[in-house]
Amino acid sequence: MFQEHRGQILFLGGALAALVAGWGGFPAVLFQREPQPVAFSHKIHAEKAGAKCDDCHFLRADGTFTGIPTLDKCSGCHAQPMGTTAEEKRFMDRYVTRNREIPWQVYTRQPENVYFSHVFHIKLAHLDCRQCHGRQGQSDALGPARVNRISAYSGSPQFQNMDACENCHRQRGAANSCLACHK
Amino acid sequence: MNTTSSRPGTKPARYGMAVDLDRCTGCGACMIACAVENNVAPAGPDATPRTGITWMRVYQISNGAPFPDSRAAFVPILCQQCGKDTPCAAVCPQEAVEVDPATGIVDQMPQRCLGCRYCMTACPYHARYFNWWDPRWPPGMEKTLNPDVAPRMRGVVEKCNFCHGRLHAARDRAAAAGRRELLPGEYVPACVEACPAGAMVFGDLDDAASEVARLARDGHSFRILERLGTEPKIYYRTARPWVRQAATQQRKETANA
Amino acid sequence: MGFTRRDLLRFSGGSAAGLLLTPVPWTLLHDTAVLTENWPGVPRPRHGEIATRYTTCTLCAAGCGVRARCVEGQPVSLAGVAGHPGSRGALCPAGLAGHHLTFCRGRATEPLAKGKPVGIDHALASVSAAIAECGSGESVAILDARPGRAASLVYRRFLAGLPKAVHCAPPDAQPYGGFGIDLENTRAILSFGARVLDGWLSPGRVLANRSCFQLIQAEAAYSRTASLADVWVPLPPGGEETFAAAVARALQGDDADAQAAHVARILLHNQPAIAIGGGAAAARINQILGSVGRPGGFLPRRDFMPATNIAALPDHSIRVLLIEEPAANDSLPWDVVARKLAQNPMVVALTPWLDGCAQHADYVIPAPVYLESLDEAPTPEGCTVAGFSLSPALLPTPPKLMAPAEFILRLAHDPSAYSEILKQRVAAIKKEARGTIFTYADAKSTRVADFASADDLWKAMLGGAAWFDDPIRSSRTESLPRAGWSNPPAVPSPEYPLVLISADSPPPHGSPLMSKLYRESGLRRSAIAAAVHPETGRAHGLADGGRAIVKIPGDSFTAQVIFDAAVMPGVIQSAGRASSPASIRRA
Repeated sequence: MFQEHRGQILFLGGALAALVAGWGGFPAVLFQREPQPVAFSHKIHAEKAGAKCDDCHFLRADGTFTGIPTLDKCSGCHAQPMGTTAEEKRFMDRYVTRNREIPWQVYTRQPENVYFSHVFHIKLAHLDCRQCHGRQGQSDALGPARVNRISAYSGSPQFQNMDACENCHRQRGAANSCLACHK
Repeated sequence: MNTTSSRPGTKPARYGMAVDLDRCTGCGACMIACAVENNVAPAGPDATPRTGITWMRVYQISNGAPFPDSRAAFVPILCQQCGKDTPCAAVCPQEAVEVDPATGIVDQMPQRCLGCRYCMTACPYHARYFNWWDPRWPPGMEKTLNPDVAPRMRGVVEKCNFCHGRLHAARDRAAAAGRRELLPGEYVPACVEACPAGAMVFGDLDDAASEVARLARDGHSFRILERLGTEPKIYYRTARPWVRQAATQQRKETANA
Repeated sequence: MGFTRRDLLRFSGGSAAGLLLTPVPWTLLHDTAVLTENWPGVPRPRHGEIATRYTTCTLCAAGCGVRARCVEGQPVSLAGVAGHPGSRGALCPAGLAGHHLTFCRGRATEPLAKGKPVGIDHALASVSAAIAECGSGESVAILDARPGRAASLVYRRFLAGLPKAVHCAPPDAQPYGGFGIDLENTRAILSFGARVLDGWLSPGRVLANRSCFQLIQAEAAYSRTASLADVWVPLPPGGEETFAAAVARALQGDDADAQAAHVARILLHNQPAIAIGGGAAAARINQILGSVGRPGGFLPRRDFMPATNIAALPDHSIRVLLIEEPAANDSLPWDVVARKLAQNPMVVALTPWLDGCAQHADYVIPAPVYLESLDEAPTPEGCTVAGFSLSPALLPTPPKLMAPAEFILRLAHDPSAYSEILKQRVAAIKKEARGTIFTYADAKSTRVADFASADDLWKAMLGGAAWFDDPIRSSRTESLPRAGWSNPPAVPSPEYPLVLISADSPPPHGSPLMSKLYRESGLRRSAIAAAVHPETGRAHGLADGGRAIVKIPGDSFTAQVIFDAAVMPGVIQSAGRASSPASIRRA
């Protein structure tokens, strides 16, 4: 039977192999997993340090967003060891003592020509952080960031292209002219 | 990409400008301020007046009289933000040009542009510029780039967008105060802010109370190449008849025309 | 039967068909396109916290207030300060791109002795030794383009301790002596070649008042100002004194030619009127008009520190000359300076640049540029009251640089830092308790007397502020001690039948963005352009747009010819060169 339909079976076999490789193998290879330089735990900081989201991630008076805080935010408390973990000691030796900025991996890093206004989405559209950033704020560990090896774009599922943004804008009737979100 | 909606909760604006040609001294401060604001690189070694990028360019016109009666006037030309049958938007094969209904600004998207330069041919005002080379700054000077504007690479067309980075920043500041609407004067392009003679006024042409709307209705105001019917939003003003004549370049009507 | 080639083709065909149904080809296409758009060659702006800081521009004598938009401490754009009494919220093109200067090429980065790097101590020792060795009749001189600053006082104190020394200035410094111009009330200006609408005094102030005065521009060149003036009087090159004398005669009712009579009528019907430039004859016009010590004219102010014009010094008298590089758009006539140097001179250039006065210098002491270190901005030129502001640094100071005043302090064995000298100046202002402080951040004016202490005043000035003195009660005085400069008449000869004149002077050091004004837009003609009237061009066999060789005594250059019917016949109009007889022929 194999010999009768040898050609078709091989053809289908090739197609199957391609589908498996393309849908399963390719994404794994395409994206590089970049771990975070410091094993930061949002959970510990929320529970033990009583920190709230906007203690580190907040809107400035001119409407710009601080994003990932700079080292001085961490040094404010961690000038002295706050706990007993080896990870904290490593962090203090490498960054706090040397006054070196931590090279965080940004999960939602956008290309240079994208303009995203946090103040619009927080203050005017009343979106919750979790709608775009997931449960990051309650996690105990920061996972690795997925970065596209070729384009260097973020591999975050909802930020592969502008579809997610466009859909929400369309549903809510928000601005959808090009330069509303590009610069 | 079809832009259908204006911004929710806001009245659409129609931003325009009034330029007083009797005050302009041709100093070029507007040209420099524009280049600083929009991350436009200085000329490469091979640049000529045809290949240099000057989103704002000041031209010199003359009353045509020879020595010693010659007089000059200076006309700053930027994208006229054509409001009707916008030529560049109509010809773009990539839909990289769009007229924003919320602001009236003709948006140019270098990231969509494929560099065919059809729009440059279509623009009656020669207000569009092509990146023949990658932008190059002297070493270290890239530290002075404005983070509100993305630099363009070679192969794409760019033009004035009424300092959209400043519009974004103004909207951010207003949003931080809980407002969706901008107050008059909150958003001003770099050229208007820089003019030492105060020759340029910017604002919402549809706001009857604004100074730019008042100046646009004034008898001294005219638009360049108005007869093309593209409804540009830059109004030029002069009390000198020869300047108006030279700037509008009226053809002599003949009996057979 | 083994695996045949046909099998392989079938399998590959299937893979290719299957691949089209996976994201692989589409993603690869898209990502490769994105990769080509994000070539490392295109720089990315730095993102970070945005702050506003204030300083004062020191690129010319106008001293305009500056508001800087800084990203993570780096200025990315500059703008004027709204409400500033001197600059009226304006900045000129050079000022708008002043934050680029620190990245411009051609900087002197370390002390040089005859072109070779040396340590600063070696340079100090060598210069001190040369000063000590000066014989009788040989003097030490400091050439100061902006006398009247706190730095100038440092120079004077140092020179006072030497047996024979002189504090001198270039010929075009202090054009109005100890007087300011009450432009707000002036109704007519007769200008002999001053760039009134193109960089005179403070551009914002002049243009804010433009509609209030009639401007008569008397010069040979069809300059920017001449093309915009109410009246352009095209004088033969060097004919300023003759014309001024004719206007003076006409003002007094004596006979004069029609043009002089016309100008005199305008001056009489639009009072108060002033004359600027034009030498001693124009001073006579001011005397007749009574424009000295009167509103709308020249008003005296308190701060005047006269410096000797270097052209007036005896030839071959200076053994050691220290030159502080003039600011960006001033110029130094080297031939005038060279005549004053004695045998075996030592020239020390205190300059940020290698291509200015450093070209003629034995020692180069590298100085910081605008925004790199705390500096001062003295009384804005033309201001009717004395003034002072600080120009705080917005950038880190590169290593191995030394401010000119600091170098002189070291020569004088004075351990004070330049910033202490400036602090003493501010303390003196507080002590005299006169005048007001205009703070840039809130556009408020506060009386000096209302500051609690000199320290408070110092802090306010470091945050961006300008001091303006109280006006002196004006009274009629005798004529100005200076009457501006005048071009020497250029006498054509058979060998040089034309006259080369300058209509523009591109700033020697400016942001590379100035290419937009000069090359990319053609708004300003470059230094290699030679504009001639079409008749003159045809008479000398030139072609419009062609190339030509321009010869002047001692030099020649290739230029691009432009036929311009606005230009005076018989002259060659170029940029950045002194007037001189010239000839031109097709290249």
